[in-house]
Amino acid sequence: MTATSTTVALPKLGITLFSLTLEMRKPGYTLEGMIDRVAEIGLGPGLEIVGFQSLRGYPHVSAEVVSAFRNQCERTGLEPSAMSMNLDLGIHRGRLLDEDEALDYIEPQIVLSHQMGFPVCKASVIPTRLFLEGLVRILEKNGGLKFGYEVHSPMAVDSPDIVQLRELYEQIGSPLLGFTPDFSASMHSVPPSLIGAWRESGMSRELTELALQVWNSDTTMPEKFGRFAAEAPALGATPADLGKLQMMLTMHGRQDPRRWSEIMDRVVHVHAKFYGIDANGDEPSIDNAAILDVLLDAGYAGYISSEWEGHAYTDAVSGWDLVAAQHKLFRKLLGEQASA
Amino acid sequence: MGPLDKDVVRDDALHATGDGFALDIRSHWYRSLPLTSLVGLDLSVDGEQVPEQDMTIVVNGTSFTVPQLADGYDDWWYVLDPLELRVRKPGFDDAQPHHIEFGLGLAIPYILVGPPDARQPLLAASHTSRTLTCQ
Repeated sequence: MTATSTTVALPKLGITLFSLTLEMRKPGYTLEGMIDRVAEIGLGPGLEIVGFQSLRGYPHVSAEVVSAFRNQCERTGLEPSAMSMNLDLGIHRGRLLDEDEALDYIEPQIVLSHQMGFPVCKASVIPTRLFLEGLVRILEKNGGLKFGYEVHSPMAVDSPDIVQLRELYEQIGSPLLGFTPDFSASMHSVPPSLIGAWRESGMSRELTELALQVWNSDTTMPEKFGRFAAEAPALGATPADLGKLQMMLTMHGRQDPRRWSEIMDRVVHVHAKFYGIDANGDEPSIDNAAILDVLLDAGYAGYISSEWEGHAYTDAVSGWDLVAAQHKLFRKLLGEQASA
Repeated sequence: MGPLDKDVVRDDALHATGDGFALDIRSHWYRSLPLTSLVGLDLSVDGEQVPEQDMTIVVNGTSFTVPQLADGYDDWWYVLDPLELRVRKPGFDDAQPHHIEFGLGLAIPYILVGPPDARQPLLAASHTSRTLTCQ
């Protein structure tokens, strides 16, 4: 820990409304009401949204919607942190968008992100110089908005795709191109909430144990998939079980948290992905203290956006309560580390 | 696979129409998707498979045949809207309960899977099996 107290700006907490994916299905939902509640119970100041989730007609929304959002942020004290965009390369049947089409597709999303007051936007990319230079031109035309490619499981800082992107970023040399680390890439355990969902679905203990062994093994992803294919059927795995095991490998990565330091000079936003908070107030599958060490050592003072994704496994808990519990954990850890 | 699967066909999803029935379908994905993503609409009622040509999909007040979905990259299924699946079925008995088996396949356009030279959208499938009465 090299960060010292008082002089160091700390990261700011926040939420992505993706955490409330199930809550938005409940009767009486409005985006405005949800944002007001975020402010009321103190889950800001950072406010991230997924455009295609929260906004009807996105990215073509009216000037009234844009100004209402900005006014609401001002009134509530919330700060737009990042717009989560989507590059829908597979929007046409049977073919993928080419680079020019992809830039045309992402441009209105960047324009809207800037209009709504977000300092950062994020999406996937086509990892070529042509696409990334076009992306920089669009970002420059829109107030120098920053772009944070999300490094999410099953990728990690040293995955071939990310290494290639890091090299392209260096060649292009624009400060607008960056990364968003997602904590799903650097987990130490399979989430207990996922194991619970497996058991509830009738998956056998033997199969669950195989899954955990494979996940914890120091082997490559293809080797892990291969071992499931070879050993799971003998344990009674159905095709649906195999799908769940593959999903587990895809969604939860084992990168050493300290390795985030390798890309910290380009980090523009952070996704604090999590899957549960235990009775002690800790995340049982992610070493948040180790990750915060890396962020503070690098002097990161941007947003840590809480992203509860346990709603993919269970609807038995409240996204509101979980994000509040994660914020409590972060406040404790930040307090400890700031005074260390 | 997850909690949103339970939302695809709600208790009040089945309605009688003049020449058959309609089923309100909700998405099991968390964000709005283009109609090109609707790659699987596999419906059977009381054990009888519904042929594709008897289905009409109504989104945003506009009707589409199943083949027309393939060109629907500029038409969006907003995440909170029900999509209406209308089925022509003369003689449909709206006074009796009906057993519905429904497979919804969504091609997720930003999550590409497969080998580098043959990447294609992830298929997110959901299956519902339930007995409903007309509302």
